[in-house]
Amino acid sequence: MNFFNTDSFNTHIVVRTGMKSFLLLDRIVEISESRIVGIRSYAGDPVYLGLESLAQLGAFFIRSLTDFSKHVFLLKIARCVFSTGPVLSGEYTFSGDLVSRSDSAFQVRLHSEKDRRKVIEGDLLFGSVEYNDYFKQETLHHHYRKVFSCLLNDSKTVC
Amino acid sequence: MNILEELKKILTELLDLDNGDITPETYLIQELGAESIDLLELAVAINSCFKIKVKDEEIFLTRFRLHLTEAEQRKEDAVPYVATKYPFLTAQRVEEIIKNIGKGPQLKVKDVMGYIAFHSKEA
Repeated sequence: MNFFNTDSFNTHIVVRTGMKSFLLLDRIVEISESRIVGIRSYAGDPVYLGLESLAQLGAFFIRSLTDFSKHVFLLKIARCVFSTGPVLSGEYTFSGDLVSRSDSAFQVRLHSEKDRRKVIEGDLLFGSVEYNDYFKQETLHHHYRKVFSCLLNDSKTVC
Repeated sequence: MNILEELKKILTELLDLDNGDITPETYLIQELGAESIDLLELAVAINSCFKIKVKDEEIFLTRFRLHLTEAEQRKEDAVPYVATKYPFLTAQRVEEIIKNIGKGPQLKVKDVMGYIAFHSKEA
């Protein structure tokens, strides 16, 4: 398998996920200091991608809470329950509530549901650090703000 | 609410320990093996349990060495200067930490207890 688009290791790496985009959220429909709600439509995708959607929604929630001033990452999946089959199809609503926090760590209780039935739920812990040489502010701050804005405005063209 | 007992419950679950292993004099990092990720999780658990605002750098004495350097640069006495940064620590405890700072991370369970007690009074 060739992961590289040229012979040089100094060029960028192409990761073939088989997906159109690694952004697994279609839009964000509600956000406040304590809660976020998003939507994602799947077409026979594996159920673990639902957990990735939950994590992405939670991370956007924390970025928004910290005004995109820090790099946010998933620290731990403290609890996760799947109440569905191996495949996700149709439109799912994802929501997250802030359970507790410190200056730099945040626990968010997230779940996804379809037809008012919970299909995935879990407690995810997120960390945040100052931007640095590895997580460059000039790249990440702009990128995540743009994607967040696009999800809020349901603008698929920019994402 | 008994701070030590609640903290023991949190730490035993978080670090998969026996409850009896933990006393106020226990070192969190040196003895219990807590890593930076564990401390972040501990901070969130403390916020949830004690309903206080948790500043990670303060509760875990993260910038202690930096404050010592600041005191030196300002030509100030280290103990009172550092004590102003950690109002939940006694001057005696600050002195003890400075004395032993070369022996590894000095954070003890009693320091975290002090932070919780101090901020619980404020709340």
